[in-house]
Amino acid sequence: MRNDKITAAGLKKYLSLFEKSGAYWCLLLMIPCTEVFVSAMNALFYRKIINAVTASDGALFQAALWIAAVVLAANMVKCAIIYAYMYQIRRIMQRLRVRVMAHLFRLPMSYFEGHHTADSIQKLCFNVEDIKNSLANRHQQVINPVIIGGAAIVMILALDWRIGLMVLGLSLVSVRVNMLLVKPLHGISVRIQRLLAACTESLTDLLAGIDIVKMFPAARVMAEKYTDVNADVTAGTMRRFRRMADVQAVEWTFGFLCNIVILLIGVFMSFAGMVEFGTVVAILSLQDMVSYFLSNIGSGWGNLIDSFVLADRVFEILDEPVSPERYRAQDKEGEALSSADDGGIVISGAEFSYDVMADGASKTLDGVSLVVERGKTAALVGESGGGKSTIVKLILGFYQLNSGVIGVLGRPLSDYTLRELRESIAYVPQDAYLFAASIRENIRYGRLDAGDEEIVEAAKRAYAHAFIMALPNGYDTIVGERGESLSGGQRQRIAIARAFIRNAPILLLDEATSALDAESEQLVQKGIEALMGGRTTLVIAHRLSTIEHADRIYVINGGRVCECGRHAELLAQGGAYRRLAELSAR
Amino acid sequence: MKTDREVLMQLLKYAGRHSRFILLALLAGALCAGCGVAGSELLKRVVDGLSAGTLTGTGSVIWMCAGILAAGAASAWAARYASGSAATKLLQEVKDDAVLRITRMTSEYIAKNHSGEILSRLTDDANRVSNFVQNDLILMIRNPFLLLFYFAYLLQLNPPLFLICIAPAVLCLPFGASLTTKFKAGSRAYMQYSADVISASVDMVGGMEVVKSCCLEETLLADYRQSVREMTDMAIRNDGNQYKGRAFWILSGTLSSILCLVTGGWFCMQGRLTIGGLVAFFSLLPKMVEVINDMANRVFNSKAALAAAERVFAILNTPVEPTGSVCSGMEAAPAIEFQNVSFSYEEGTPVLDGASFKVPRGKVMAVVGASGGGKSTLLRLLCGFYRPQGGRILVEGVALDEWNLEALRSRIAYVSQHAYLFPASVGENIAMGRPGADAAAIRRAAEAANAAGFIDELPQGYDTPAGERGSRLSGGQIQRISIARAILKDAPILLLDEATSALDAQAETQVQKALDELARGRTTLVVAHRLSTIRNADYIAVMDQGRVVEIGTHEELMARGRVYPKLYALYTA
Repeated sequence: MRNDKITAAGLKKYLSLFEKSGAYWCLLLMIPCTEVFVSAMNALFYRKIINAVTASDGALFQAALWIAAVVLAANMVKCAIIYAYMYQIRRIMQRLRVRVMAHLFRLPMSYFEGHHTADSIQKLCFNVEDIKNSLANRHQQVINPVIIGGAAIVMILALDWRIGLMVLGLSLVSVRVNMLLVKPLHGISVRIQRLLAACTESLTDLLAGIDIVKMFPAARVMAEKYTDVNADVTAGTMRRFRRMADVQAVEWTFGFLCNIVILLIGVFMSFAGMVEFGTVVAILSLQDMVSYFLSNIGSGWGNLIDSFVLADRVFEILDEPVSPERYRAQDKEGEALSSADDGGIVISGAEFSYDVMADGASKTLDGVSLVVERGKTAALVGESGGGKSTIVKLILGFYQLNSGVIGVLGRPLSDYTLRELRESIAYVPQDAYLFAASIRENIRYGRLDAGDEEIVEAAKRAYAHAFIMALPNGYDTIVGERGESLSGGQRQRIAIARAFIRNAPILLLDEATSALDAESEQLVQKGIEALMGGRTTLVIAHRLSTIEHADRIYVINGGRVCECGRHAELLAQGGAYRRLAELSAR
Repeated sequence: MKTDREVLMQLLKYAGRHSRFILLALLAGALCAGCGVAGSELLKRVVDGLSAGTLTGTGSVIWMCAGILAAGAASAWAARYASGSAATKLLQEVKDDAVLRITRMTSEYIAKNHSGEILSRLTDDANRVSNFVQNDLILMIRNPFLLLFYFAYLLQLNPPLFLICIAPAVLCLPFGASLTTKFKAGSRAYMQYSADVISASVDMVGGMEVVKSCCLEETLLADYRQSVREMTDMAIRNDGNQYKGRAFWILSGTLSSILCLVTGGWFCMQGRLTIGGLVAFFSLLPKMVEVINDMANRVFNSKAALAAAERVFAILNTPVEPTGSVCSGMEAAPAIEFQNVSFSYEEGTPVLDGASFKVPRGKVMAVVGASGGGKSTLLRLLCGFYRPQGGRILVEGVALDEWNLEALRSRIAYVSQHAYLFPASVGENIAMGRPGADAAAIRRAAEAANAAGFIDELPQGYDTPAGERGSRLSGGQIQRISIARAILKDAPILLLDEATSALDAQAETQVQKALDELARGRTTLVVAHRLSTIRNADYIAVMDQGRVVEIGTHEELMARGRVYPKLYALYTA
C-alpha cells in the first residue's frame, strides 16, 4: 500500500505479513462479541434486580443472582480470550521475526553495501516490534467499533428502519469525513518512519565514532545531526497529533450530534404517533454502542494507517529479491575456461561495475584475466581502489560478473551453488570482523563441526594461542562488539585461525598481514605459508616479503592487469611493479 | 538498580517540564466528559419539557446545545493534542539528553555496552515510556480521583453498602498486586533479552561478509530462531502474570458491582434504601467498574513503562568523564610524561604495569613492541579515554586529572589504528578537524595528507559520501582522510597509531611524507610498525610486558639494547 488508497490487493498483501494467523483473526472478532455479550448480560442483570425489588419478588431476585454468575463467568472468559489472543500475537511475531531475518540472510551482498546496517536493524527489529502494536491494538481499534457499531445499527434497523437508516447515514457520513481527515496521516507516517530510521543510523554512527567526537569538537555535528533529526521526528509527530486531535473533535461532534438527532427525531416521531415510545427508549439504550463507533472509528482508522506504513517498511526487506542459488551461465563458458584451467582459479575477460547503470568509464574491472594454478600462489598488487578486493569478492560469488568467466577448481562459477562455492574457499578479509561472542565461537565459525582441540590447534598455527591464553578467560573470553576489545593484530590472527580451521582447497587473503607488528607478522607469515601448502591461494598484498615467493604476481591498475610474472621477472621488466617495489623498499 | 520510586521521580521530573500540557489534558478531558453529561442532561430536560408540553425558549436551548457542542469538541481536541504534545516533547528531550550524555560518557561504558543495547534503549524502551505518558499517565492521575468521587458518592448514599462494595476489592487486589511485581521483573528480563537479540542482529548484519563467506546463514538463523523462541516464551510467561493479575482486578470489579446491586436490592426490599437510591447505584456502577478495569490495565502498563524507563534513564545516569579545571600546560615541562603508569581494561590482566617515559617538546618518539603489549593503550590514556589505575600521566607538566578534558583534547591530534569515517561527505569528514574550516583549508589539509589527488578523482570530489564506516573508500583512502582531519586540527601534540599499515607502497610513501611534514615542530608519539617511521624517530621506546624496557635513539639502542636489536632484526628480515 504505497499510496494511501486501500485496495484489495494491498489489503491482501498486508494480511500476508501475518502467517498462520487464522486463530488470531477469530479471537480478534471474538473480543468485541464477548464485550457485547457481557454488557447485554449486565443490562439484563440490572433490569432483573430493579424489577425484583420493585415487585418484591424473591424468585426474580434469585434469577438475577444466576445472571450475575453468568456475568462473572463471562468476564473471566473474556480474560481467557484476551490471553489466548495475546498468545497468538506472540507466536505470529515470532514467525515474523524469523521470516524477516531468514530473508535478510538470503539477500545478496550488494544489498548490505547499499543499505546502512542501522536501516536493516530498524526494519528487522524496531519496525517489526512496532507491528506487535498493530496486532494488539491498532486492529482492535477499527474492528471493535465496526462490530459493536454495526451490531447496534442492525438492531436499530430492526426496531425501526427509518431511525435505523438515519443512524446508518450519519455513520457513513462520519466515516467519510474521518477518512478525508486522516488521509494526510499516511504521508506524515511515512516521513516519521524514515526519520526514525535516520535517527537510528546517526546514533549508530555516533557510537562507532565516539572517539572522534571526543577528540574533534567539530565532530559534535554528528551528535547535532541526531538532535536535528530528532527535532524533525518531533515536529512530524506533533503534526500527526494535531491531525489526530482534529479527528477527535470531529468524532466527538458526530457522537454528540447522533445523540441529539436520534433522540429528538425519535421523540418527535413518537409524538406524531409514527413509532412507539418504548421503541425510542430501546433505541436509546443502543445509543452508547453507536456513539462508541462514532467516537472511535476515525482515530482507529488513523492508527491503522501506521500499521500499513510499518508493514510497507518490513516489506522493503521481504520484497527485496534474494540472491540466486547459483549464477546463470555465460555463453561459451566452457571454451573460455578449458584452455587455461587446471583446477585452480581462472578468470577470463572479467568485466564488472558496482553500479549497473554506469558507463564503461567507471568499470571497476575492465577485462581482467588471470590464472592461479592449482596448489600455487598468486598475488595481486597495485594502487588502492584499483579493483583487487573486487576480484576476491567476485570469486566468493558476492556479485555476478557483467561479462567474462570465473572458474574455480576446474568448474565455472555457474556450475556451483553459491554455498558449495563458498564452502571450498577460506577467506581472510581486510578488516577482520569478529562477532561479540567468545573467541572459541569466533574461530569455530570457520567450520561449525570443529572440536575444541581443533580450535586450539588452529589458533596455535595462527600464532594466536599464546595471547588467547593470556586473556582472563582464555578461549571463552567474549570479545567486544566487532572484536574491538582486541588489538588489530590479535583480531587478524583469530581471523587467520578461522581460515585454518576451515581447511578449504582455496585460500583468499585480503591484506591479511596489514595490522600486525613485525614480530607477529613474521610468525603469521610462517603460519600462512603452512596454510598455503597445497592450496590454491590468491593474496592481496602490500608487503613485498609476502609476495616475493608468489608463483605469479598480477599488478592491477584501473581495473586491468597491467603486468604479470614472477617477482624477479617483473623487477627486471622495470615497469609498474619495479616502481612499487622501489617505493616500499625505501 | 534504581527503585521504582527513583525511576518514577525521574520520569515525573521530565513530565513536570510539560506539566502545562498534562494539566491541560486532564482539565480538557474532564471538561469533555462534563460536556457529554451536560448534553444528555439538557436533552433530557428538552424531552421532559416536550412530553409535559412546558418547553419554552427553544432558541436558548439550541444556543446551549451549540455551546456544549463547541466546548466538547474543543476540549476533545485539546485533550488529545495536549497529551500527545507532552509525550512527544518528553520523548524528544529524553533522547536528546541521552545522546548528549553519550558524547560525554566514559569509553569504558561504550566499550562494555553493545551498540544494539543502546539502540534498543533509545528506541523500543524510550517509545514504551512515551506511550505511557501519552496514554496511561493522564488516566492514572485521573482514575483515583474518579474512584474517590464514586466512593464518596456511595458512602454518602449508604455506608454499609459502600463497605460491602469495596470488600471484594480489598480482598482480591493484593493477589493482583503481587503479580504486578512479578510482571515488572518479567518485563525487565524480556527487555534485556530482546536488547541482546538486537545486539546479535547488529552483529549478524554488520558481519554479513563473514556470514556469507563462511556459509553461516543456516546456523545463525537457527540461533536466531532459538533466541526468538526463547524471547517469545518469556513474553508469553509474562503475559500469564499480566492476565492472571488483570483477572483478579476484573473479578474484584465485577464482584463489587454484583454485591452492591444484590445487597442494595435486598436493602431496598427491606426498606433500608429507597428505590431512587438503587437507581442512583444503577447509573453509577458500570462507570465505577469501568474505572476499576481500566486501572487494571494502567497498573500493568505502568509497571512495564517503569521497567523501560529504568533502562532509558540508566543511560542518562551513567557517569560522565571526569574533568579537571586546568586549561593550559607549563612552558618548560616535557610534552608527555608517564610516571610508573599501570592500567588494565579488566581486572587481573594488566596491560600497562609501571610504564615510565618522557617525550620532550617537539620530538618524535616511536613505540615498538609485541602486538597486544599496550602500545595503543598509551595513546588512549593520553586522550583521556581511560584513567590509569596507578601512577601519573603528565601532559605539558600538568597531571591528566587536573586538565580540563576539552582543553587537553584540543592540544592533541589523534589518528587511531582503525581510522573511522562518518557517513558524511569526504569534505565534511575532514572539516571535523577544525570548527569553521573553509573549503580552501580543507583542500590544503587534504593536499598535505596526499589525499587531494584521489579525492579529485572521486565522482563528486569533496562532496562524495564516504558511506558507512567509509565503506565506499579503500583502507588507504580512509586513512589519508583521517590524517587530513588531524592535519587540519593543527594541535601541538600528535598521536599516531599504526597509521600507515594498511596502505599500498605508493600511498604509504606519500603519507609518510605528509606525516613527516605534520610532525615537524610538534611532539609526536607514534605506535610504529614501519621501519621508516622508526628510523626517523628521535627516540624509540621499546615496550614489553606493559613496561617501557628501553629508550634511546636507534643507534644507542642498537649498541646497547637487549630487546631492540632483536626486534629490529625482525623488521628488516
